[in-house]
Amino acid sequence: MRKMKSFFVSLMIVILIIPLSSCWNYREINDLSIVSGVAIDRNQANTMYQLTAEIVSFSLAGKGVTLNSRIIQAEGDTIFDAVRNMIKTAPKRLYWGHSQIFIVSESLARDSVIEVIDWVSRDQETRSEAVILISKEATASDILLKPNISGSPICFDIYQSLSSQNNLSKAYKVEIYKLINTLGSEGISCTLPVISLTTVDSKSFYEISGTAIFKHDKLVGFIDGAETKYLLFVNDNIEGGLLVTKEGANISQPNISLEIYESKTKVKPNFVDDELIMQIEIKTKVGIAELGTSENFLEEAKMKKLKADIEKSLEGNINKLISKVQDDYGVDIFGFGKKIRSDMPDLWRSEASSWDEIFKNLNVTVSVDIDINSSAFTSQSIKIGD
Amino acid sequence: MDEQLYLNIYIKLTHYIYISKRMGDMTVTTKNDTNASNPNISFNDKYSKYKLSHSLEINIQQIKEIFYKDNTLTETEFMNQDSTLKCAVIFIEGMADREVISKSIIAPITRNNPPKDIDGNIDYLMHQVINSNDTKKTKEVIDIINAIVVGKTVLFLEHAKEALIINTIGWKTRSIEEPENEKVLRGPREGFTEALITNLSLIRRKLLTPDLKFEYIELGMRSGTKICICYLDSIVNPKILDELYSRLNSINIDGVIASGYIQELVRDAPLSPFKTLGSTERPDIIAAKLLEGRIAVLIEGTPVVITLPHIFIEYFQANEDYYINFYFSSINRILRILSFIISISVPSIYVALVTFHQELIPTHLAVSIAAAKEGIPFPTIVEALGLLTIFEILRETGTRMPSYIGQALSIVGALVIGQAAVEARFVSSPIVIIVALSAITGLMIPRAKGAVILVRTLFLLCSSVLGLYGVVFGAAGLMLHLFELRSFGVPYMLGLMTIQAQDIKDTIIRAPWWYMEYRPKFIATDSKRKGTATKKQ
Repeated sequence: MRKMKSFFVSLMIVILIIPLSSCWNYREINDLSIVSGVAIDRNQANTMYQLTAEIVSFSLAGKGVTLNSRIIQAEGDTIFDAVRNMIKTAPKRLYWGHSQIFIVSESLARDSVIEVIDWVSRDQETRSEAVILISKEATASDILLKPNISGSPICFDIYQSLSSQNNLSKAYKVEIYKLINTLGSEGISCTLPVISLTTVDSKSFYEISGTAIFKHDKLVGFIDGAETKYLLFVNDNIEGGLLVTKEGANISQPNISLEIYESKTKVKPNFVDDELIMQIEIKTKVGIAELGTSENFLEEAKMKKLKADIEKSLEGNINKLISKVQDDYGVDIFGFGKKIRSDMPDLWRSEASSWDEIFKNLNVTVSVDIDINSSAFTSQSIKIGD
Repeated sequence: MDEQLYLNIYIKLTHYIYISKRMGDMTVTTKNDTNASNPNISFNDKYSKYKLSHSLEINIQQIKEIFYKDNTLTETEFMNQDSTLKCAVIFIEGMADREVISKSIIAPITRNNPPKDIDGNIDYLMHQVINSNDTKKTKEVIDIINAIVVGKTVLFLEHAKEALIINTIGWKTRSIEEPENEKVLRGPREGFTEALITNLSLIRRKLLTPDLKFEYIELGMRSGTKICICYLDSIVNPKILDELYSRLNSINIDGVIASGYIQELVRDAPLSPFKTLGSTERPDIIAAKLLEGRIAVLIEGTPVVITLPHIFIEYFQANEDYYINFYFSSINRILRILSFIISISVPSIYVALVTFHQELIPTHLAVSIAAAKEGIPFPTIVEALGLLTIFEILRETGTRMPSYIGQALSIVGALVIGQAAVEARFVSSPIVIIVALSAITGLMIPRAKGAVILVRTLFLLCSSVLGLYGVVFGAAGLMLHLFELRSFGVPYMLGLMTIQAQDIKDTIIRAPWWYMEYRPKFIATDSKRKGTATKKQ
């Protein structure tokens, strides 16, 4: 009897093991195609989504393995439909956990960006830390298809360049979760970095520069790379980059580059003569990184002049950007509304519904304080002997 | 040469013990009286028919009859100049020292002329002739047999119905050397040998106090192995001591050849892969453990001494930790603990990440792992288990094989299995790195080898089924097991359960000596280290 019992118990264990061993998501890493990024278009003819995914592929060559990329395209009625349709042409199951780049075409973004980001934020494989960019090319897929750099996946390169933009400040990284947060908050509009193609020696390369401006979920326009820098100044998001004397149209200084080390912006809504004014105070620490002259700008008088000129030009440029955005797009990408909402909640409650109109005519004062506190490796300018 | 001789003698010795339980003059002290139920008595009954007689010839004949078919038994008859003392000595070649017999027994007797006719008065020889500090008179044949087998010499005198047993034990032992598998850079270089009495003297020399107690008991129905229990009387926990005696007395075994026999029979949680009894070959370690209130069990015929109670952190404590700078020894100890964790968990975490949680690997690493695994025919778990098995095979081969084949093994191991297998794309290179890391870190704590192999494999199986959940379940199971263990009533994870300063001092780090004011809790009766170790309270 005991023997029978133990026999049945072991039989049950064996029978149970077989169905239970099929694990819920056991998958070997080499049975997956790692998607590095995807470009999303809409086919104008049949209004279907067209997805162009770049997957990482490998080729066995002798001893080693070389890293390649491969493009897979599919169409679908929805984004996810297109994603699943890719299986038809993909060698292995697509894996989206390492997809870092989502490029959305301009025309699709002008309709709505929500159609794209919902799947990305909902799916359990895709990451909400992935970044989203707007393509200025005719189709977003061009960004992945046209550059003829062979070898490693472009999307990883794009992600790297975008990450190092904090030393340039002509575009900035917007992760999908941040985009969703901004979409949901009052008094600030979304912005996304812009990617386009450029030609060097008849070869195409991608270029990340500028910012796309959204009204709610719809694209309304672009600002260029230089303007993006001033936007970052206002948003207090600047981490690096240069201030160059030539940027100020009316500055009669030689070529000087100042590197931004640290910058702090204070935006304060204030009432002056019963009129709402946004006061922007920018305090920036810079260092002389390049001195294209033999004049010694470290002398006090010249330094003062340089400081005043740079301050003036930065103030002018920021003012220009703000009025451009106010007049052309009427979209509060600077987050002034958000600031009022936290500083003057009563005012916000009464004016929130008409904020778009108020923003268009909002008075802004900008004051910049530049502190030139170093001159890199040498305290001299290059001397010219007689 | 010495070793060969020793081995022969050892085999002889155990052979004689088969015939007779040797009692001789060894004092046996046990807390509980075991003689009543001693099964060895039945062997002794066999010799009860032999009785000593007045005739020298008959006595010799009897002994020869008992030791029939034994050619090592040596018997020499001699007499003094005027033939008034007619004697014979009987001893076993190799066990007794021939020179001592010649100089201290035969020479004095042959040159002696007794003042009057002594006629079988053996007391005269014992007290006035023989030069020995350990001589005994006996009438019992069984005593004579037991004395002969351990290497003592028996002297018969014509007309005497008694015999003298003279201690001439002179069998060869290995010299005191540094143990091969417990080397230190700085510290004493002595190691225990196979001779119990030498080992006891090595301990005694480190602790010069009458507080140090050595108690003998005998174990093994046929081997009659002498076992010595050693402790410091004033600090030992009497409950642990009593428990040890009761466990030792309940042992019923044929023979005890090495300490491993006792270890398995005495330990707590015998089915756990973790050791609940410590072992070492170094007298300095034993002295330090005794000073912490622990008990040492020495066994005749083996250089490995058991210490108890043994707690988990002792795996990571090395004697050298206490001899070198405390910063350096703390770093070493942290490294050992880290190695243990790496060794048991790295293969399973790798398998979990690669087969379940690809999103947790940084993108570029994921890509290079995927590249390395391109075209590999086996699932990751098979790769991992296979390579780990191969490593264990290499390790075991390396331990057992003659040392001159070592080069062939390293070529086959490193080149064929490592490099060629990767190049032929049988296995991927990351798994080779993972297995190598796990293997090297596993070798850092050789004492925990068995436990590491078992736990690592269990973790691997868990992670191959459930991914990181499996690793977490495995780790939880391991923790439950470790915290449940006891060694002679002392919690196995002693000192690792809380993060109090006193607990950290000699666990994760090794604090400077002036901070270590207390002995480990529960082990000693008196936990204050300084000045209290002289008198029993």
